[in-house]
Amino acid sequence: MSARPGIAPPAIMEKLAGPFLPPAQREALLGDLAEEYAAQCAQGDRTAANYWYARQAAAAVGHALVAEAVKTLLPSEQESRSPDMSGKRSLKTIAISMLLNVAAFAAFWIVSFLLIQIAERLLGGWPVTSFAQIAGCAIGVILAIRLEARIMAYFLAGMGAYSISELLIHSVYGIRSAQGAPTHFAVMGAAVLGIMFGAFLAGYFRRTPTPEGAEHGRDAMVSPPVAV
Amino acid sequence: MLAVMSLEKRAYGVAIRDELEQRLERDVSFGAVYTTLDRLEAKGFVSSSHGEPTPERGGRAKKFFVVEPPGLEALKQSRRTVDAIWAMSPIRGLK
Repeated sequence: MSARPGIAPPAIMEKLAGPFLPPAQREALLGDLAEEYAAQCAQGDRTAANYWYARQAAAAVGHALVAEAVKTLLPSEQESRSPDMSGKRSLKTIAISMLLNVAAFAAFWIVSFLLIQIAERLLGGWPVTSFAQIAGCAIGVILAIRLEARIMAYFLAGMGAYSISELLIHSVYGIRSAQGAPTHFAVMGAAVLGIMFGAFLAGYFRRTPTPEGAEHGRDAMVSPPVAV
Repeated sequence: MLAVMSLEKRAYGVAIRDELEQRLERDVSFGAVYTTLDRLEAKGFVSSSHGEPTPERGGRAKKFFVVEPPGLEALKQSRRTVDAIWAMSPIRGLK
């Protein structure tokens, strides 16, 4: 803990790690890392100190990203904020959330199946079936939002994005274009991940405490601690 | 929380991590320390305040933590639970 002024960690590492750390922790965490880094340099081996810093910064970013993902994907922590929170209550919340997600998927599947069957039998095959699939996804997203089934909402939004993209590609290049399971899985995976990353970033920025009038970035780092 | 309590008014990131490493005899990352403290703060178990920025920290302030009454109560509850489980242990002298 006995640090010497003037021994700063590599600026590039600070710049790489900084943006990924939660604003509420960023200032203190980077300060702690700098203090410990200076203490390690004072012991002589700067290369080892650089390696130590890189490892700690990477671990801090990993922890921060996982924590943000959990906050985004799981239901609000409002229920667990009370001091009398117990593991049982927390497990119950997770179980209810999983049930709601399963219910949302089941509802989506039934609605989509009916829509596609009706489109197939009454209006012919493609592209009406694709429109039915998109409509099924849209209804599924609305149901998932109503049921507060977040994971299913992201998944069905991704599937809807994939269906729209597929319809456009087939309309331009023909029904036989962009076929095959790997292509479908790749595009659908990209759509689902895109929606999830978007939701993650939206949740992250919504929780970012920005001082009034201050710009994002360095000014946001010195925001006062949130009163609990 | 016990580490924060034992450090009293000196409980900030570096000191807490040092205390944990000393007690647990293993490496503890700053990321793990801050993620845990963040969750405890969100639950109202600990609160934080900023110190003065210092040059050896690149002009950054320390963030000091203190355990709040709900945190103390949670610690007591945890102790009671552990004691109750140990009371069931068939191994004598390990209560």
